[in-house]
Amino acid sequence: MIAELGAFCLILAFVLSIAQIALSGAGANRPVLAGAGEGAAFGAMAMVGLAFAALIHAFVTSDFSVSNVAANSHTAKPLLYRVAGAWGNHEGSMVLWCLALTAFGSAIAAFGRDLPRDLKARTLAVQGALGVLFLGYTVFASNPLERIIAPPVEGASLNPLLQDPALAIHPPMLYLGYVGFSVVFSLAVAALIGGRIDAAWARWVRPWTLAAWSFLTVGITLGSFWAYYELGWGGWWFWDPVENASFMPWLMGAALLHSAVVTEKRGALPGWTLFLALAAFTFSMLGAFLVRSGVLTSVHAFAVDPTRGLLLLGILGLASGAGFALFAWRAPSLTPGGLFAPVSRESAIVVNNIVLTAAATAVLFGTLWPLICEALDLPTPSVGPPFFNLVFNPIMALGLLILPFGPMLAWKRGDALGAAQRLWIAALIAVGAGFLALMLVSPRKALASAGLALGFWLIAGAVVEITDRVRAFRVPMAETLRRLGGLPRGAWGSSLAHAGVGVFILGACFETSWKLELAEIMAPGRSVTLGGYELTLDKVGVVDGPNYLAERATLTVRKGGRTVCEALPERRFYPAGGQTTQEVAICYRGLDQVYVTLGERRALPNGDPGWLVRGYFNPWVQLIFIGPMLMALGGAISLSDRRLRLGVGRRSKEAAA
Amino acid sequence: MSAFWAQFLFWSFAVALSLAAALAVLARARQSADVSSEDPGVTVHRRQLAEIDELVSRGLLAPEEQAQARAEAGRRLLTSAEQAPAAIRTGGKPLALIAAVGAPVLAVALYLAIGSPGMADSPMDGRIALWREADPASLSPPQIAAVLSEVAKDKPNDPELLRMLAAARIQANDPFGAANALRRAVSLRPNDPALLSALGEAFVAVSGGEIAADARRAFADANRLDPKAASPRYYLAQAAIADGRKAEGLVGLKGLLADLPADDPNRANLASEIARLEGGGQEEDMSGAIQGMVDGLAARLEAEPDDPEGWARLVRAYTVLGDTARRDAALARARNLFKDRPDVLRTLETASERPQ
Repeated sequence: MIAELGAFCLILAFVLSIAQIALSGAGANRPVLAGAGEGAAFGAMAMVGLAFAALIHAFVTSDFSVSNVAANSHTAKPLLYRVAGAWGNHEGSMVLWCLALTAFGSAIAAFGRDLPRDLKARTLAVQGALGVLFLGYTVFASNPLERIIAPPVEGASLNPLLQDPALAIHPPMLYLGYVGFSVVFSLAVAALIGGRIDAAWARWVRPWTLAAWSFLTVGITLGSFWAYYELGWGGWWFWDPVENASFMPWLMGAALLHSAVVTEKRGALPGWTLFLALAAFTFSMLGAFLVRSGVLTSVHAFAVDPTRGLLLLGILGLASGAGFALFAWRAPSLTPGGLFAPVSRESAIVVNNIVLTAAATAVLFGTLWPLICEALDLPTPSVGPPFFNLVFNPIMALGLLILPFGPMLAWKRGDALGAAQRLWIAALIAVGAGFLALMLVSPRKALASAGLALGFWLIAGAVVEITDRVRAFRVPMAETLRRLGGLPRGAWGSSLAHAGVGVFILGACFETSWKLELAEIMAPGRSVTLGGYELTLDKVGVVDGPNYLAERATLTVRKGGRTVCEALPERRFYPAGGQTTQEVAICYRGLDQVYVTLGERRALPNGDPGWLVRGYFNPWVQLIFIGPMLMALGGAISLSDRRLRLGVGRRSKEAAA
Repeated sequence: MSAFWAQFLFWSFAVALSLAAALAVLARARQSADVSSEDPGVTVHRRQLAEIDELVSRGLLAPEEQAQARAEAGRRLLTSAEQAPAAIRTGGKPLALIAAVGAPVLAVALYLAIGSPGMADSPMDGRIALWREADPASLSPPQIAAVLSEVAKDKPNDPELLRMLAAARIQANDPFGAANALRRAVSLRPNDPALLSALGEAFVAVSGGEIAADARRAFADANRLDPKAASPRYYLAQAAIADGRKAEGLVGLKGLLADLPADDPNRANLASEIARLEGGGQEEDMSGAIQGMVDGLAARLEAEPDDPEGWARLVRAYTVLGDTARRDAALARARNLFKDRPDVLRTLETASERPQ
């Protein structure tokens, strides 16, 4: 009964979303209908939530009469992964997507007290339309609560690669990010309908953009970390089309974050900000299509039949097409905002936007070109890391080089020389650090050392920005402290996020350029050295897992004769799906990691059994994951700025009265 | 619970959920009837003005920039105030009511069209409980295996139960699960030749007929404990033949044949196998015949390439024959043919790996 109630709730949510379009659409100037539309939004969220709970219940109890559970679960699977299995597949993750979509709709209804009545009602109507599209797709073309009359005795299991704690939280975070941009999209379409796009609109857009972008940052980082330690290839980013699919909305979101500030502070660039708001969610939907259409084969891709892929493409075309058509129609009537000089904070942000959109275009091109060639029966080029390193990295490096100048420039007309003078110390630190790296780190690598310099430039630049704002060392200490206390959280957030980019660059450059790896067939008792560490294979034993059988190696990692950690890599065999996976062992050593995987058993020349052991010494690799987390934290801190806090206007007014 | 009550309960909940949704719509509509007067756009701009002063007082904005910033923000405030929002209209209650009532009605209609009304849940625990009470003869091997595995959870140290579980799993085509149960059974009763022999057979089934190292160990142990037992003798002899020690294997098989009782049904098969092994020329014929079959398969796939299973079979055949060059060629073709079908690709990979 619970499964059927879930199916009913999903349909009720779909119908409530239809009601939401009608009520909110008609409610732009009728408060009663606007309120009814909000009620429908709350109802839709509650119903999708209940349907999702019913699906999880079916997974937990191994109810194989639910087709989705039969196809994606197994009784031998540990409880956590049975729960996570609910969103580890195409149909289930569509419900999660719809839950995020309706939850954001409810969030507008609940927290959008600051929004003008008509804008809020129209936003909810657009959000309802998105809900109808995606819920309709889920209910009629990808229903996870479909039943089987004669259920199988055992489920068909889940990809063992996906049985991982990071994967349990990676999709929810990613979806909050992807779908968070739907609010921005709806706000843009609503503003285009209403014809009022000004500084106030940009302020309403900003918190939603910040929230979505921060969630997306966390989601992508978790995904990257998962790939790093679960796939056992020692890499953390592969320019895999599915990774790119999540990276493009991130880049557009980052551009939008910045352009919305310009529109808010100066009323400038309203059209561009609108365009980015539409583009960010378009890229989110493109990602959903790429992952689910079956056009890609990837570890993350859900293999779904082309018909359903085509339906998703239709949804993408319909939603974005309508948005951009409206934009094309309305954009000429937008009033241009405040003017600004070529050297100003606005100009710096324009450059930032050009860089980010150019980078996103490069990623889009690199991702889609092979697919287009394939579709047209042209020779399919292999677009891989070399392409992205050649195109994406220089574009971004250019943007990052000028990043620290942005916050140092005044609005409207900036003083480039003054900014440079204030940044000299950061430049000195960066050049010094780069030079030190060139001298001290072997083997000597000029480009990588320059990359490190760039990372230090960003971090030092962020620190200089804060010290400059509080006039540290130029006014008495007490005054500096007073200013420090009065600094808005938005300033802290942006500096932290910019420093996070620097931290990430440091890790990425160092790890990519100076990592060491070895592959050795080892017999128990043998030792190898790897970057100053001695790895000794003590033994290899058999482990009986809950739903797998594994060989587990015990390696002692020593440095200078002293044991620093014990590594226990495994090679697991999952009989239910007939798959073999590697469980990586990681020794955390400050910012570095010693990363060990166990490969297949092979005979040594003398006939004794040996095992293929791969070891990686990944220096500064932690920074690759810490950096983005700092960016997300910066986003969260900015979001908590009282100037952006939702509904604060009314409350402060009430307090005054 | 009878079917009627199940239906009744389901529809009661469905109606309650529908009512809740309708109430959410109507309650919020009622709440929103009174509206605040000021346009929030004006509020935002007014706040921007206040913030400029605040930044100056905190020393975060230069006083000379204050006037300019204030002037600009003031202009925006005025523009915003001029763009008065559309007049508020009252009414709309009928539409809200229609939506609140209509939505659940439409939902029920849609559900009746695509749902499975009244279909009960079917959690694994409940199904196993039903099977436990059912007549074992009416159950399929996977069902028996599921029941026994549930029973074994309560009695983890009963080797006899584990042996039965393993037998059921073999029947249910789950040799890996059988080997798992038998390994536990053997660890409980290490000196039982029958268990060891069954474990060896399970290992052979897991590796698709090959007698690999773990199977040999199990058979050797079983043979040591009970030199007369037939199964270990048979498999150890086969292992010797697979290793190229044909004469030794033949001696083993002949000895086994001599010891088998006259009415043993396996005698005929064993005798014909020995005869085949003794006729050396026949073996070449056999390998020629195998090669012929593989070539036939390759030719057929050339003509009708859309056969994933056929390709997997071909790749596996080349792997077993040790013909790496042709295996790689076939694998490359098949990979290209089925590059958008990950399940097929996976099967191909498995087929191309040498069984360990």
